[in-house]
Amino acid sequence: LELGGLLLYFTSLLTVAGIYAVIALGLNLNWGMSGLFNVGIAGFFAVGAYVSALLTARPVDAEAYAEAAVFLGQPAPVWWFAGALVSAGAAWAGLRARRGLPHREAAERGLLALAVLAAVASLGAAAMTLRELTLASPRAGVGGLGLPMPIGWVMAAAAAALVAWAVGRICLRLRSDYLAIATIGVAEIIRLVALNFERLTGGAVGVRGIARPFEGMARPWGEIALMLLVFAIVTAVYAFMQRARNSPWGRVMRAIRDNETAAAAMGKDVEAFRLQAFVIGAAFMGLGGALTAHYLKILTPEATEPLYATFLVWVMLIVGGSGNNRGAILGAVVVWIIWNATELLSGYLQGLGRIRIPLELLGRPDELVIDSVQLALRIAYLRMFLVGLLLVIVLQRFPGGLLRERPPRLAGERG
Amino acid sequence: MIDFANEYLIPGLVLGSIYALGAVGVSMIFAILRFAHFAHGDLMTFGAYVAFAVVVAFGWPPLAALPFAMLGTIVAALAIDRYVYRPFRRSRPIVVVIASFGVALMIRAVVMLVWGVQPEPYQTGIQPPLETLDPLRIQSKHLVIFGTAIALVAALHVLLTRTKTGKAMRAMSDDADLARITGIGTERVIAWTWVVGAVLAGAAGVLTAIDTQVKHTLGWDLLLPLFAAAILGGLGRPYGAILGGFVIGVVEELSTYPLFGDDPLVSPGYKTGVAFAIMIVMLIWRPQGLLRGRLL
Repeated sequence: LELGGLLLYFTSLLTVAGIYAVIALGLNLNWGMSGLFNVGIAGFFAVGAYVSALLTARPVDAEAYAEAAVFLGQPAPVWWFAGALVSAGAAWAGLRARRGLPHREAAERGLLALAVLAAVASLGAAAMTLRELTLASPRAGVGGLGLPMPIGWVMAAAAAALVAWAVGRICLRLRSDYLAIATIGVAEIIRLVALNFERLTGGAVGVRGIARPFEGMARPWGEIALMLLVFAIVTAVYAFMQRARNSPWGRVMRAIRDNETAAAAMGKDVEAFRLQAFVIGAAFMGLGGALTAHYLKILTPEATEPLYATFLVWVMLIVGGSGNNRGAILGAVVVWIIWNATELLSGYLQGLGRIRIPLELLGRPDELVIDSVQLALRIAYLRMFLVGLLLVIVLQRFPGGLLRERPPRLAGERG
Repeated sequence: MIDFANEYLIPGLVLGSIYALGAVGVSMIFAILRFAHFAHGDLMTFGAYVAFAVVVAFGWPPLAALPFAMLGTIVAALAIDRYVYRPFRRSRPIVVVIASFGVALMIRAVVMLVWGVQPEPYQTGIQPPLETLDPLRIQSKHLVIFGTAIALVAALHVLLTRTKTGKAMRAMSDDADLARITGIGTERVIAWTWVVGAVLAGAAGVLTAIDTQVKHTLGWDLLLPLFAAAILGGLGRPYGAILGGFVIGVVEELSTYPLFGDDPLVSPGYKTGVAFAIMIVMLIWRPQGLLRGRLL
């Protein structure tokens, strides 16, 4: 490998590791800090990936898009985002009012009614736009809103959070094993939707032409800039998570995780706190999905395979040390490097040609011929085995992971 | 009416018999070892591939390879329990659940390593439906699957009601502490649970492959319906799991029935979603299941 190739290789390695770190930090909020057994990472990942991809992808048929989706001189997405904003604001105000005095009830009702109305209207507008677009050109349903990327990422996190909220409302009251089954089911349903709802997601073909940040820049610089952007996002998410962990909120979450009954007896609303942790963690999984979609530039249901989007993240968190934010990041980098090292091995094997092993020892005159290309393909599956083994060994021998959880000191406690 | 039976009821019963076999293991492991065994589907895959190897090597019919598949799955399950799950007996059950994901990955990796990822049928060629049962169109493979499943369920019934081991298993899935007080050996019952679970999982894997083909995601794809069936029937209730399996299988097939107009009620692509919906409804309204299983 020459120097330039090596540089690109490590840039892409670290970029993906950084994206995984964002997801692992989200999982750490779910599992490490709050003890929520979320095995549906792939689902929230997929929601984020598809939402961002669809919102930001360039219009497939620009003319049809322009004709169909303009209302009062403004493109339709602008209208339904405005609607969503108004409804969110009204709902927020309504919820605030509920905490106030009883005589505010009328205002509260009015605001809530307005919120529902605006939400319905904006959803209707969104549906109309999509319908118009699909009528205008059959494939235009896939993407084509052309929104700026940051909006796509925020909406990705918001959409994943929304799905998590709905799931959490139903499933969080279940005990951990049941929650695992439920979240894995949700992820499976979302994968089915991605696969079958062709008008929206493009089915097995997926979404193409997703923009990548800095793709206009010259060869190594664009990649490096993207890597730095991902690092910046990881840093921001890490700072957020540390803040959450050190805050009173984080303390309550640990209390609930370690002794739910005691926390409830202290007057903490266990279900509400759990829902918050679940939703916020899922938002970062959605963000990770969006980043992945924009990094890969195409998005197919295969990218949201549970193997990559769920299990690898779990291994990362367990290996790195659940409950420890730095551990989540370290685990993401270490496991991703191990995962890729086996790829180098299979690349080496591919160059060997046919391997001949004489079978004289077994008393047979012929020889065993192994096609090294086939062997290299199989070796790629070996890493799956190694990752599973790594998970089991860490759980058995080093349950704390690489970096153990160190809860922040309480006020008045001596270090 | 006959069309309805041919296109929905019979496939539903065939699917249900496969689910039933897998769900019994999931349900018993949940009740006796107290954790959700997420590698159960991959044990099924393993069994299916052991049978595939025998079919390819000796040219036998798949049903003749069934005992080998069961044996292979038993060995795999006991080895996994010994080296992976046993060290966790005294830790929190949720840790074992995470470990079972690792095991699922490892089994699937071994399958992919040895047999590759190309789906393959046991036998090529189209089987015509049996003519004797006209107008019912039943393929002989469907009869084989259903018959094998019923035979295994009968054997399970004998084991659970007529043998000491079976009674000990039932006692332990009812109340582990009470069972221990009466002098039932925990590890022995656990080992038998794995044997029973593995025999049924291996068989379910082979039957699934007879119905469709062997592929590395065969068992993983069935995991959700298996859990749905186990929860529907009540965890720790083997008969409940069998009932749940048949209900889920039949409902999944019926859900594509064109009740209104010509379109299927639920598009076939979302069939798995039906099992999931049933499971969620059960978890919310009646988590102990139809036969009043245990709650964890």
